[in-house]
Amino acid sequence: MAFLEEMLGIVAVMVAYGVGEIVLFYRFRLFAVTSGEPGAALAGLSGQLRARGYTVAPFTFPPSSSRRWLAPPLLVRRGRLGPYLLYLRGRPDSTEVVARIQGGSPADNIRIFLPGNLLLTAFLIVKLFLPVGVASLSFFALEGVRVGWAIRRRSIFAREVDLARTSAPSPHASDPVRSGLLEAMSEAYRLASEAHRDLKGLRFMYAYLVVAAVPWLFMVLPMLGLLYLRGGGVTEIYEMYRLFWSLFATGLATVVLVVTVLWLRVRGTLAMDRRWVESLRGAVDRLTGSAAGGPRKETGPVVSAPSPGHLGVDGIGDLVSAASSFELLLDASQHVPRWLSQAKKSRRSTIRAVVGLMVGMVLAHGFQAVVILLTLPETASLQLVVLLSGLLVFAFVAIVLRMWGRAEKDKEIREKAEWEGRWIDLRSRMTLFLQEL
Amino acid sequence: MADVVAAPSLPNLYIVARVLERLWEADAPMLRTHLQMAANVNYDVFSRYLDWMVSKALVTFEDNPGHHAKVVLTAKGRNSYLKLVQWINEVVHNKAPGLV
Repeated sequence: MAFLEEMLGIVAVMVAYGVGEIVLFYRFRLFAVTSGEPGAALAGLSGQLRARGYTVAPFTFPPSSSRRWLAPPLLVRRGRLGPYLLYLRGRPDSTEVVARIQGGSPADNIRIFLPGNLLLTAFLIVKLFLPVGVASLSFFALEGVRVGWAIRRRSIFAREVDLARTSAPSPHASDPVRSGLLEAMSEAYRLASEAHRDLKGLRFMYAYLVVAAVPWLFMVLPMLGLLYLRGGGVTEIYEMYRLFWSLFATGLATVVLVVTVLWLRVRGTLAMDRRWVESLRGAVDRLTGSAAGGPRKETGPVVSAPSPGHLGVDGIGDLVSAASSFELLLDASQHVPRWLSQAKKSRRSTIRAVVGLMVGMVLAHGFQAVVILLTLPETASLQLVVLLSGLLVFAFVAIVLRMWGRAEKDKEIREKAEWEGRWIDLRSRMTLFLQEL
Repeated sequence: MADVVAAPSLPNLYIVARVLERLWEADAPMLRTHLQMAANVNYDVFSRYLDWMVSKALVTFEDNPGHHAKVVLTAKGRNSYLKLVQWINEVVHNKAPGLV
């Protein structure tokens, strides 16, 4: 069930991602110049401008002009906006597309550098193929590894089926002690193994986040570069590349560091829970094995020797650990609230990660939209709408997640307190029972 | 030996459960030395606990003429262990102990 939920979550993210990508990509059609040939690029651009309601006309410079044009310039206008002069200018290491407001100052110009007419194509590849392609492939690859791993461990699933069968009436069902022990042990085993599996699932989620972060950074950082470029800070294309790769490397290193720290935090708990699962599994095997007349084995190393002051006993300092099923259960039951809350926490983290990923993608697109719209002076109101929409979505999701998280946390604290009450009650009942025997 | 060792003022649940469980598992009289090894406590402690359990009729000694006496789980001992198991089973199943 958890696997199905996780798969559905990933599919939802990918669908949202793909739909968002396609919808937003069509907003940026102005940049959809893919031809490597300057004339065709300019012609494509003018066609798209016409489709958006701009008037595009050829512009002829005075014959005295000494400038060398890669393609005939165009004069673009729409209503009161413009006219813009759109032309391609050759540079030694790149090609520059300039949309210049007629009569405006050079600061009003919009420049996009094309390294050999390839930068826009690269943008397209980054925008269209990397996020969707890399993310999809990575998700599928990771999911494939996970499924493969699960299949490889099919013997464990088989054991779980066997365990379920142990609940069925056995030849020793008439022995209430064995039934009680087996029932409690199976339940403790189920709780421990579910908590352990959920925590492992969380580890997978961290891996997903790393994979998702890579295309995300690829998507956002070129936009940062573009923003910086528009500000006139970068005049050479290789500087922009350098900026892009520095930001990418820094961002990726940060993500890897954060995920590593998170993974290290759960590693100890994972190892401890694995030992519990093995011990409880061994105890169930022993109970069912002894039911079949098999040899008795000592319980695993999880249970520590009870402390001398456990029930106020005196003189058992040299007590050596030899855990019985009862002791194992008594110690395991102390961990049950942690297992229950751990399973809930893992599920909450998974949901948060999926929602966070989706919001992050929406924000990334919003950011892209703002940056690209900034290059279009006539879209100031739209920039504001996009920005406010992004902030609104972020705020809404953050508030909903926070409220939900608080409600869950309160419920968890309440349940834990109830559990502790039951545990204290159990111990006092047992102590009283021994005293009154 | 058991006479010189005082009975536990407040018995340790773990040790009592260990002895009861071992006798229940064996489902047959056991030599006290075997039981002591199974309980994994030193002889003095084991003797104190055994005496205490005999005094509470949880276990009894079986006559074994010419040999060492064997320890047997009584019906009360079995029921006591069952009660402990039932309580912990209820708690593991998230129920208050003793409500069912």
